[in-house]
Amino acid sequence: VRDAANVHVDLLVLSTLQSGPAHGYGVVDALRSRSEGAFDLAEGTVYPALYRLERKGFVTSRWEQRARRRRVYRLTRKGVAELSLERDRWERYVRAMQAVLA
Amino acid sequence: VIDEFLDELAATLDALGVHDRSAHRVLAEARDHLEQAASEGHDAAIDRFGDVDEIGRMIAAELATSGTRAATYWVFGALALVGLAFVGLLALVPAAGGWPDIFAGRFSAVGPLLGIALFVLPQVAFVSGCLALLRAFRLRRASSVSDAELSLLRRRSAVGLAATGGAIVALALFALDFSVELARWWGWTTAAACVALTVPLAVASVRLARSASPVAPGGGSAGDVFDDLAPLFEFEPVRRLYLPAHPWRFAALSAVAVALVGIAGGWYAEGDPGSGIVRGGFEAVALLICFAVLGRTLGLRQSKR
Repeated sequence: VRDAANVHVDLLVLSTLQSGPAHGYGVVDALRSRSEGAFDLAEGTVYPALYRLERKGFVTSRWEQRARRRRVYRLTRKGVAELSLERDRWERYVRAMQAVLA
Repeated sequence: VIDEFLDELAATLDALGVHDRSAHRVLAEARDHLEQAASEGHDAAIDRFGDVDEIGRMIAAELATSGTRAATYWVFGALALVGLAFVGLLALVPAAGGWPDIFAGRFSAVGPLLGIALFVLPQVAFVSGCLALLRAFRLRRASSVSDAELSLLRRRSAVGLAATGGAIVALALFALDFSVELARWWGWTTAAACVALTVPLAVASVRLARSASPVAPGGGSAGDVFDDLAPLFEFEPVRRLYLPAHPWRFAALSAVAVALVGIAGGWYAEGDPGSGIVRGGFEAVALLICFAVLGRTLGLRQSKR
């Protein structure tokens, strides 16, 4: 399951950010809790994924001062569209797998 | 414990060529993350964060790939701009007094050399730039690729820039050598353009030089032009020629094609088949020499395949 999470980390991160802006630790925490601990990936690997998504224009980020100074990531419109596209693709894949496995 | 880990991460990033803003950002975010995760214990937080080497390599590989790809687009933009200006200036020569006798310049020995340079260097720049753009386009969706591939991209771009720089110098010298034969306005326009065109070339060169750091730590081969144009070489009649296994066969066929175009072009331009044959023959010989000299640098052939 951890390997699968690594392969699909971009989709997972985008999906996590759909609930609202978050910093790196928040993304990891949300991934872990929403997957009930199944997606327990090396936490540091989420940052290369966030940088990659930012370079592609799917998320933006900026430093924000709350209780502490931290970098907060947000989905862009392009990111929302990408998430929708990837989610459809993933659902088709899951349906096909289920049809075969059944 | 967190400070030690961050020092190790900083050293790893530095060794991989991730410096300045990129490194500061990674380290600041890692510190914030670890300090928040440390509520469950420092060692546990560091264990969960992952291996320093793996994270550093992922970041370096992706920065190297995106930086080199962006630099390639900059280089191609600069080459295209210079190429357009170059063609425009040469197109004005007939209006400035017509093409002079190549041996009748101010410095008689230089004229033929300049003629060859003005003929060959733009073509080398065009081929190198197109090969670089083709590879960058092929890799447009890749997050990270091998260092060998990025090196090939940078070599193709560098050859394109060097050849373009050489062509600009040759054009400026040509204007000086034939300043008596050609109209003064053409000479001044060419000189001014040559100076102005060094700006985009310099900007692109800086971008390209900067893209050499960070280093993509991943292994793997760079491939060659047969990978870049795989759909062409998989086309059945072409596939039967086994060109990827025999790159010199590919060079010979390209030389024949270029010679035929040169003969037709020369014949049409000069109205004389003899001139066409000379031009076509020169094109073919130039192509074979360039293939021999620059073939491996530009990824037109590999040592073994």
